[in-house]
Amino acid sequence: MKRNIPLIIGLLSLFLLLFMTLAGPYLPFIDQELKETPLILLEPEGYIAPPFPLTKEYPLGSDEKGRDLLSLIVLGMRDTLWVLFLIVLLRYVVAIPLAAIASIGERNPFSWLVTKWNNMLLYLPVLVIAILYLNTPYVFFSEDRKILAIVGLALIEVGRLSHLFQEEIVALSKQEYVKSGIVVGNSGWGLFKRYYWPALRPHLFVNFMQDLGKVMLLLGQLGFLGIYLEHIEITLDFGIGIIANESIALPQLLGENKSLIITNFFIPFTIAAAITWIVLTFYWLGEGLRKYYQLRNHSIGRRDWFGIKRSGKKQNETEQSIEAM
Amino acid sequence: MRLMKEISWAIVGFIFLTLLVIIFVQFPRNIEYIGVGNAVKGTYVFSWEQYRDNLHFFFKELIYERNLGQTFFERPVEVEAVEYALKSLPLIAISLFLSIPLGIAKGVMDLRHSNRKTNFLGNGTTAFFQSVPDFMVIICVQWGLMELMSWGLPRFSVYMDDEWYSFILPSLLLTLFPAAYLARITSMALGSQEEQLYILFARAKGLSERVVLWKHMLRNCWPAILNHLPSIVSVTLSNLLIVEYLTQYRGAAFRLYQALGYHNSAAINVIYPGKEVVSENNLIIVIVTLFMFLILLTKIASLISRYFLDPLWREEK
Repeated sequence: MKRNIPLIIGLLSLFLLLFMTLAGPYLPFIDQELKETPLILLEPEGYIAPPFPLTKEYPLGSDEKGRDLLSLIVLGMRDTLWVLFLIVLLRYVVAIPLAAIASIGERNPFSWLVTKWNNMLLYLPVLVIAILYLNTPYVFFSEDRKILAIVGLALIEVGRLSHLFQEEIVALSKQEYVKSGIVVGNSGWGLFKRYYWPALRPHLFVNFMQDLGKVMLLLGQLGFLGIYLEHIEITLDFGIGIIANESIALPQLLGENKSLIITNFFIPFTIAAAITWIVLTFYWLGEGLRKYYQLRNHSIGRRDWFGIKRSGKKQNETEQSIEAM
Repeated sequence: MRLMKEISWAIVGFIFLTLLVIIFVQFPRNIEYIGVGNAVKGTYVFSWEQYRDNLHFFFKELIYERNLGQTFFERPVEVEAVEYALKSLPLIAISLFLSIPLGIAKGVMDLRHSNRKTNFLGNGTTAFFQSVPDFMVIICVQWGLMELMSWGLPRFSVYMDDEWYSFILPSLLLTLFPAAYLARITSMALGSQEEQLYILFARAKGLSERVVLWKHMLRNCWPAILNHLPSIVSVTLSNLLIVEYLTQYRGAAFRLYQALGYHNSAAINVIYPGKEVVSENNLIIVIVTLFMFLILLTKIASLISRYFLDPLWREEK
């Protein structure tokens, strides 16, 4: 295997994803207003109530309200990706400084905290923790449910991530070259910039991509179970309030349409496929980056991003075995 | 000595988490209704007194009366929780029973195939179940089965739990993801042994590749695999919720989902003054604790087997 196929697929897929999110809404066949159509006239069949079959106007069919499914997915993608990115970014913003603090010195209370937090996460699946959290009345009825949900989902796994990086930093600090860096008189910042950061960067990028995939999976599962990050409370004038969902983010769409599995399988399937696509994009990117760094760290000749060798030197054995993995 | 220490830490962690869950779930769920013009708006008001009372009542009942209250169906919580847990247990047991050997065998296979053209078959399928969402796979399998039935496959119910064979499909679905997880861990652990000198020596002695792989390499991978055993149960439990929900198999995870208020969408979507909020908090606590207890047991089992299989670990302080 000469090329870094996961990275190529991942980048192509990411490009397509970004194109769809940024330029998608302005494409001619995307209905930005998400018009609800009660009936359409098809030639042989006559009038049809939604969900509509695949036609020229509805390339992926429509949902139960007669909204074009392709437009829904394209427009819903932006919201989904924002929430996803915010959750993971917040997680890293908290976890990395925590890991750095936790790896200073012996008998550090933060180190204890991070280790125990990581151990605790073993006892319950993250999905169950997320459901319990999103169901606490405070979060459930809050006006700022979306913000609380994003913060909560970001914080749950901070322990795992901090622990990972703390171990990484502690292992690095025992390396000879880091010790030599201290001996030649690097300042704290210089040590970080020239010795720790280059070694940590690959882990950071690979884990960031993997976490994007994992969080998207979690959001998809939550949506599928009908647990949404945002809902609005509509108060009707005879004293009944309805908790409704107006968002068109993909997990919400999946949750709303999951009851159609038996009658119109392809509606929930298409939405689930869109979610799967996002998960897979970041999975491939994570795998691709991992491979890229592995190849780079072990290669004699220079390689470009896609793993194609520039110089014609013979590969050494370690490199071959790593490629084989 | 190390074994006892690790086991006691695991138990302490379990107790701490159980308390955390109780504190978390016992948040008061009172909604106050405020008039807004003609309408009434429900808002959540948190009161410390109510919260303190909830916790006090819970512990008082639990310790002095040994009573956990009643469920929605007016049955004692502990009876109902155990009943549902016993329905889920065969699923989990079959899944673990199948996925552990399958996952390890698959991991070994993945490593052997990694140099060949058939790599996409081995590592490809493992990567597939590592990355594709579980609900996607499950709805596709169900849909595929129903399509096959319309093509002449003998009919059986895909969504029910009242037939004698109902446990088969969910437990098979539940096997896929833990097995893929374990396969990945096994093949990575084996990969890390590849370049060790003892492997080179074993090969130099002329031992067959099979003996080297199964007897020499795998023996050294047991610690890593055993270490991940609790995570595998955790993956299984997370999957259990999706599987039980999708196959309508009424087990503990399904009951937990019901207890959280999602048993029918109308009940949670509509709020009005005087609507009785059936609180199944205690049931939530009991089921979640049972889940954590299962993971605790696995953790202890993995520690004990590691004690016997990994002499280096045993001697370490």
